[in-house]
Amino acid sequence: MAIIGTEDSARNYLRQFILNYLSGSGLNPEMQYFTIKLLHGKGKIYNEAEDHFNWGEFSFYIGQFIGHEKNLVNQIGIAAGVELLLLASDIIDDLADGDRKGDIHKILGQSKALILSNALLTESVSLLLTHSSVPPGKQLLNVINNLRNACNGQWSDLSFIIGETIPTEEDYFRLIDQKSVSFVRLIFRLYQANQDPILEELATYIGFSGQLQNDVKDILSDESNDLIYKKATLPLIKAIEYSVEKDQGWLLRKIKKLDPDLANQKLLDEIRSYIRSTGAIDYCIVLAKLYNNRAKQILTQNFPFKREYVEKIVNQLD
Amino acid sequence: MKQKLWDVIKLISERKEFGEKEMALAYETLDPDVLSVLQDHFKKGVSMRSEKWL
Repeated sequence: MAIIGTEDSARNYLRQFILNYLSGSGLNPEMQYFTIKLLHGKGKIYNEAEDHFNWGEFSFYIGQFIGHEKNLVNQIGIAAGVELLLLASDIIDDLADGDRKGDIHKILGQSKALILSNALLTESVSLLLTHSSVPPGKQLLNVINNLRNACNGQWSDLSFIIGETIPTEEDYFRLIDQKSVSFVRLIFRLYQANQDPILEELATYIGFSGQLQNDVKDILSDESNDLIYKKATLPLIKAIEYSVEKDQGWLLRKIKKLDPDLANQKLLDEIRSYIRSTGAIDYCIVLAKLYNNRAKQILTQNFPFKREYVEKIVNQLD
Repeated sequence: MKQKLWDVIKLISERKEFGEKEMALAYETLDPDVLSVLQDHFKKGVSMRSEKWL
């Protein structure tokens, strides 16, 4: 059975599946409650915003598009596994970033968040192995290899800051290939056991575009700690490159004054205004759009007979 | 590709406009798909640019 009729069919199927799965899973009821609550957050499957990107839905349409699995329950089961996996990863990201303003800290607190993340990882692997048409041994290797890569990237990301040395643009893309593209690769390989160069390229463009968009949003937002912790994201790397070339590193001197323990609003505003003026934000937005366009181009050129699913994926990417 | 794009964007940011000179440099140095995204991004003018797409 294929779902292409209505805009929100897949979303509704997925919502219902996750509710049913959790209630029959044996997971502690409080953990079930918090899982559903967190899945109402921004970009998650129960969030009511109409046009947001959602990893579970994205995975479902990728499955319709490249997968051989014809059973709807299995298709939705894999998408549910991806949704829980990304929530598990988001929880760890928020804890690692010390993001005290985010939902995870507000709703759960650190100890419960850690345990819930662990439980969600377990449930997601169970769903992925149960519902995939790829043999379980091969599927488990795919999940482990890509998650290991993502973990390596997240580990490196902790020390990927502006310090005595300044990471380069090449360093940045190497890092996001590990920490972000690995998740997209994992999703593609859930449906296609063997490596496919076209899908590899597609995963790279989608992962790069998504991470660049996040990094631009975060560096400009008071809700994120990226700037105050001097995270070496591409907007900051390019703005520093500009500053070193044009004004003997004014920006670096300002960045050194940032202190996570002090109120820095005036300094943060001054730094953000400077970063905008260098063109670094524009550069990252243009690159993100370009990678997004290239992903769409690969989809439309290589899969002309799957137009209805290509459109669904393109809508998600937009 | 990326270095050429960065050079053009730096120039636009310094001059605070996407005028004829900047457009000529962009045409000369960028691939058509890059140029198209750049033009789209700046079509409302540098002073009006925003992160609305994100």
